[in-house]
Amino acid sequence: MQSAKNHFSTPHIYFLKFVIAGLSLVVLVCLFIIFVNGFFYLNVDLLRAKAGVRSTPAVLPKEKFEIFVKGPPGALAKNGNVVLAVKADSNGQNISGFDLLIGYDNDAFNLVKASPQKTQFAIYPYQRNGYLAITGTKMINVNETTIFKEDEVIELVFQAKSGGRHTFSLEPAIGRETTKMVDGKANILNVQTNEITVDVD
Amino acid sequence: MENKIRPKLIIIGLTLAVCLIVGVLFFNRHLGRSRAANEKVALSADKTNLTLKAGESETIHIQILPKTAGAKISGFDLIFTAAGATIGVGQPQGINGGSVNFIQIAATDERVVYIIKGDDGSLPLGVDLPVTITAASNGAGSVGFMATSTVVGNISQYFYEIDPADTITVNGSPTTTPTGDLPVTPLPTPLPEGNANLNIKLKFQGIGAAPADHLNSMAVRIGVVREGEETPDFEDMPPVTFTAGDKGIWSGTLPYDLTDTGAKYKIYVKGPNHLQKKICDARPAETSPGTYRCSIGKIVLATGENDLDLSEIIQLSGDLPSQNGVIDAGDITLVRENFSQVEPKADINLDGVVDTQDYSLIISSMGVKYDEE
Repeated sequence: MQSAKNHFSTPHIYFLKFVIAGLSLVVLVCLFIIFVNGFFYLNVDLLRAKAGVRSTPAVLPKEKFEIFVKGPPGALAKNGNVVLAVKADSNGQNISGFDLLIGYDNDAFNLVKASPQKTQFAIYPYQRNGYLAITGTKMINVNETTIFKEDEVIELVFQAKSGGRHTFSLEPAIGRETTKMVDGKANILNVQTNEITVDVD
Repeated sequence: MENKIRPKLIIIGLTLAVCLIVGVLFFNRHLGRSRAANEKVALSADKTNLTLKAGESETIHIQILPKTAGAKISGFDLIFTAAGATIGVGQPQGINGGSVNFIQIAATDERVVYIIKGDDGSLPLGVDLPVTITAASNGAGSVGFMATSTVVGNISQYFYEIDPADTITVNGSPTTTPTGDLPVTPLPTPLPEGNANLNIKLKFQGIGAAPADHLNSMAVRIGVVREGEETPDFEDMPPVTFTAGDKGIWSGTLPYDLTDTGAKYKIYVKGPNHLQKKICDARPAETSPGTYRCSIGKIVLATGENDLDLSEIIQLSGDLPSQNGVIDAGDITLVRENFSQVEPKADINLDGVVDTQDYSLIISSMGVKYDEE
């Protein structure tokens, strides 16, 4: 046994080490090539996403709006009010305006009130068939920078008209309208969006 | 035992070190560049005014050039707008590039998407795109780009900002008028074509007198539809040049090929900074500015001259270039962020400067917000 071990540890073991090192190098080079190609195809995906070739954008925007239920907790009684809110994160960008498109069933809910939660902004809600469009603009006398960091920007009160499970969705786009932020240079910033469900007894 | 392990560790260590160095070089090359945000690219044409008869074609060259020295192009998604003309896009060529490998992702009559495969060294500093423009008729025509066009390159944020000032407009005939995307230059009086002329007078919100000469021309899209027909897309409506008189009444003539003299018509009007208005009467009126509404077209047209005085109602402002049929935060912010500037896109009342009057006008139109359909 000792003899066999000694026999295997001479030039063969150096050859084995050389093969292992070579294989490691090949694996790493392969991983590196995959990494590089990944970046190339990322570029392709960005363009394909713009061209509508893909339905899902390859890169999600970092700016986001998020709709959530502010209260009351639990299922909602018919004719009761639910308070929803939209919070925003502008990823460090100075924001001068925004547009929100909130899809909901007009037959199941009445909009009672829409209120701005940032005092620097005025809002202009507009009810459309199947959605609520809200434009927010920084007031003319406000010169300070506004960066959203998970800040509530809008509070909405809806009254339930019919039972069941209902969805409120922040729609990225409806027709030519879009949910977006607008920065201090009037550049359009696309945003992440979400949707929630509300149960009505 | 240590002597036997050491060579293996050295080899593996060296391998990892080499890969690490290569990786760092890669990151440095592709991701480590820190350039200013919103790097811009210009879209420009070698000819911006074409004189063509109906059916005639001419090829122009559109150049895509980054404004940052050394920045390169790795792809583009150009969406054209064409009114009164058709376009055909040829094979792109690199400008000052090495071995440029264009890969077509999508191509339609109005959209062309290419990526350019290669590393930084082989990417071009610009792209030359041949575009053949054919006049569809002897009427007005124009070709431009939609704001959603995209150019990407070897810059940290991938996407270039397309400089609006360099967006081009190409006129397709002697009677063409430019679109409202740029400060417009008056063109020769249109030569009537078709068997009817619609001599239209308009009044625009906030403009009470003729503006300065260099601003006294507006490309207004006019759509004429028979009652019962669908609402036209404003981008398909031909632009007509309007000029203002002393009282701020704007006049323009739309040549129209009238085929049905017994029909009733509606007219859609969309100014370059305005919401679309639907008009059903030859002499509409309103008691409060901006309140005129109608549903059934009652306008009767005849061959020859047709005078349509629409100046008793106002065209509400607010849908600024690039237009999307709605007043949104982008429009309002464009005004707000250009106070005291000379920015034709946001100068709603055409007094030469963007100020609180323009802001007030756009805010007052928020009660309507949408194009009429």
